[in-house]
Amino acid sequence: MPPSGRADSQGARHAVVLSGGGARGAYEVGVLQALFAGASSSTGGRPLVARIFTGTSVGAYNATFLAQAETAGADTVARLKELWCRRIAETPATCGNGVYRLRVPDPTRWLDPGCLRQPLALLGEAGQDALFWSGYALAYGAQLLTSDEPPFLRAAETFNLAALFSRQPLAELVADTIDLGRLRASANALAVVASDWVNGRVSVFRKADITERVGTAAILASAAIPGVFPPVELDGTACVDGGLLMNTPLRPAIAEGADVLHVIYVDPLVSALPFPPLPNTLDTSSRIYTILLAAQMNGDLRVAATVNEELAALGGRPASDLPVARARRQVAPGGAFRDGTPYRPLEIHRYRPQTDLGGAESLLDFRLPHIDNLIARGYQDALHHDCRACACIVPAGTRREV
Amino acid sequence: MTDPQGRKVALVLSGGGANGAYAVGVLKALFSGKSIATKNQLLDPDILLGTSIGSFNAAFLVSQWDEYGAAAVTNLEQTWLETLAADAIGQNGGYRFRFDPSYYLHPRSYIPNPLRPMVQLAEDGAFLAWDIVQRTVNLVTSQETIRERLAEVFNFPTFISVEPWADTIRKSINFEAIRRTSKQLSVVATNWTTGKLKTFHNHDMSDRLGLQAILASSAIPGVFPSVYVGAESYVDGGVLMNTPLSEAVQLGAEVIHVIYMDPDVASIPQSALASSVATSYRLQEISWAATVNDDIGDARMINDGIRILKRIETGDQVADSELQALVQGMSKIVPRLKRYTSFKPLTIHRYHPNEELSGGALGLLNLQRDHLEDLIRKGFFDATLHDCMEQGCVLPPTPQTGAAAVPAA
Repeated sequence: MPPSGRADSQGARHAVVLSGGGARGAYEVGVLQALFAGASSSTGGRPLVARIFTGTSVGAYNATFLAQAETAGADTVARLKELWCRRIAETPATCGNGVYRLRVPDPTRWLDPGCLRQPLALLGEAGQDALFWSGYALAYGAQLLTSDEPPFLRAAETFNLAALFSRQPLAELVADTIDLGRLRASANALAVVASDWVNGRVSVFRKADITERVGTAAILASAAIPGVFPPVELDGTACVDGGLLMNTPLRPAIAEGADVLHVIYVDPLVSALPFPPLPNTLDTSSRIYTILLAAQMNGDLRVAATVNEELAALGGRPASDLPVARARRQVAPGGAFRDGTPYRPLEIHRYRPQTDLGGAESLLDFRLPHIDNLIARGYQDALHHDCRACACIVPAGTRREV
Repeated sequence: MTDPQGRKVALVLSGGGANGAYAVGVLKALFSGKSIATKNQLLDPDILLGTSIGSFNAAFLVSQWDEYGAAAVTNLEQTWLETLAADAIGQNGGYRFRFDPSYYLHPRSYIPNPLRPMVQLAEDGAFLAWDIVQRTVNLVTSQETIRERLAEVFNFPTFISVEPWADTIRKSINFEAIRRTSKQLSVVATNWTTGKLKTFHNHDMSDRLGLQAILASSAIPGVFPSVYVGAESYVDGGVLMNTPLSEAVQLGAEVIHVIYMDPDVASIPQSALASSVATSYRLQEISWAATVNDDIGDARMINDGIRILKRIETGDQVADSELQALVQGMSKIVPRLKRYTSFKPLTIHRYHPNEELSGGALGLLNLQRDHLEDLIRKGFFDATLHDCMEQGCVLPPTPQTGAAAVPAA
C-alpha cells in the first residue's frame, strides 16, 4: 500500500467509522493506534490509509480530530492518545475531566492539587454555578407558580437532571484542539451525525457543513446525550446525540464512497449490565437508554446486512430477469449510496470488545486508570483481530487476502 | 377469514397508556363496518398483536371473539369506561398511588366497606417499611461511592401499586378462551435482563402466566415495577417495539390495520424549560417513530419490488431508478421467501391522531372518565373518516394503473 495514496493499490477507499459511547471512546483510540501502525491483520499488516472519517458522539470528536490531519497516520493517533491521557482523562495533574463538570459544590475539588493551582478559576466556577442555580430557581419557580397544569405535573416539570452537568470543559477541548482551517485544507471526507430533536430525524453534517456553516458546534450536538446535556442549536433546530438514531454511522461512510470500512464500536451488552436486586430510578433510566442504543446499533448493522442481501438478490434471481451488467453500473442498494455512485461490494471490518466494558455508569467515568485500560484493550483487540470472531463482511471473490 | 380475496388480516395495537382509549374508538368503527378502510365491512382479523395497553385490548377481543364476535368491542368500551376509568373518589382500574391522601380523606372511600381503606393503608405501610429496610441496608452496606448509594435510594415505582390493573385484567379477560380460539394473539414485552424482544402467544396464556404477560407488556419502566413471567423479568414492550408491525409481517399477514397513538415527533410541543420527564418522553417518541417509519418503509419496498418484477416479467422496459427499487424490494422479500412459499403485496392501513392526544408523558396516566370518552370519540371519528392519502397507507399495486399508490407519509 503506498503510504500517501488516496486509496490502496486496488483502488479501494478506506473509511473509519467511530460509534458513540462516552468515555469508551478511549477504546477507539487503542484500535486506531494498532490500525495506523499496521499492526492489525485487517490491513494486511500495513499501515491503514483512510480518507473517510465518520463518527457519532465521542466518535465524532475522534473522527474530526483525525480528519483535520493532512494524512492521518500513526503520529496523528499518537497525538490523539496523548490528548485522551493528559487532557480528557481525570488525573491528579488536571482539575476534573476534559468533558463535563458537575454543577454541585464539590469539596474534593477544593482539595485537588490540580484545581488549587488555579484558585481564581475555582472561585469563578463557584460564582457561575451560584448564578446558574439562581436563574434555574427563578425560571422554574415562575413556571411552577404560573402554569395551569395539575400540581403533580408541575412538580415533575421543575426537575431537570441535565442542569447538574456543565459541558464547558468539552466546549473548551473542542475549541482548543479542532482547527477548522486545517480541516478545510485537508482532502479527507468527514461526516458527523446528530439527531434532530424537534423532528426526530437523523442530521448528518458533512465536512463542508462543518467548516462553512455550523462549525464545531456539530461535535457538541453529536455528543449531547439527551437528559444529561442540553440540546445544541444548529441550522435553527435543536440537535442532540446522534446515537439516538444512528450510533454507528455506516451509511454516511458508504455515501462518501467507501469500499472498505473499519467500524469500531463499544456497545454495552445489555445482558451484562448488573441487574440490581432493588430497582431505582437512575439504574432504570440508564438501562432503558442502553437497550435503545443496542437496538439502534443492530439497526445500523442491518444496513450492512441489507447491502449483502441485495447483492444476493441481484445474483440469486435468474440472470435473464435482470440486466445485471447494467444494474451493476446503475443500481444504488439500500438507499445507502448517493445517486450516481457506482455499485460496489463492501468489505467491513468490525472491532468491538469481546467482553463488556462495564455498566452504563462507565460511560461517564473519565478517570485515568479506566481510560488507560480502555486504550490498551482496544489495541490488543485490534492486534488480534479475527474476522471470524467479529463477523466481518467480506465480499465474495475477495480482492485482498485477509 | 373476512377478506374477500382470502388474505390474512392482522390488527396491530400499539402502547400508550390511557391513550389506548383512542384505539378503542377506532376499533368501534372498524368492527361496526363504519370505516371506509374496510369498505364498510365488519373487520374480522386473523391475528391480533399488541404492546402495552394494546396487549390488553388485543387479549380482551381475542378472549371474547368466539362468544360475541365483532360485538366484543362494545364490551371493551364498557370495561374501559366502567372498570378502568376513575370513579367518583378518583380510584381507577389501572394503578394507585400509595398513601394518596385524597383517598383517605374522602368520606365515600369508607362506603360500603369502612375497613377497606384501613386494610389498604396497612398494606402500603408494610410494603413501604420493607422497602425502606432493604434500601437502608443497601445504603449502609454497599461498596459503592456515596453518590451512587444515595442515587439508589430513590425509586419512583415504590409509590405506585399496580394491583388495580391486575384486578382489571383478572376480571375482564378469560385466558381459557384465548387458549381455545383459532384467532392468533401476540403480546409483546421487553426482556429487562437481556434487552431483547419477547412475544407471548395463545399457548403461553395460562391463567397465571397470561396475566403476568399482559402486566409485563404494560409495565412502563421507571413508573411501574418490572414483572416476572416464569423465571425472567420483563417490562413494557414499548421500550423496543411500541407498534409490533414487523411482527405482523413476520406472521404472514397481508392486510394490516395499525392503530397507534403517537403523533409526528415534530408536532409534540417543546416546553421552553427542559425537564427530565419531558426529555425522556421525547426520547421515547423519537425512537418509536423511527421504528414505525422503518417498518412502513420496508413494506413499501416489498410492494415496489413486486410491481417492477411483474413489469419485467411481461417484457416491459424499466428505468434505472426502478431497477434500484427492484433490488431494494428483493432484499426484503428474499428473507420472507425462506419462511413462506409465496409472497404477496402488503396492504397497511394506519390510524393515528394528527395532534398530540394528552399533555405529554403524564397524559399516559390520565384515566379520567370524560378524558377517556373524549379519546374514544376522537378514535371513532378518525376511523370513520379514514383517508388513505392523508394517513399514508401502504396499498398494493392496482392492475389498472400498474403503480402502487404510495402517498408520502
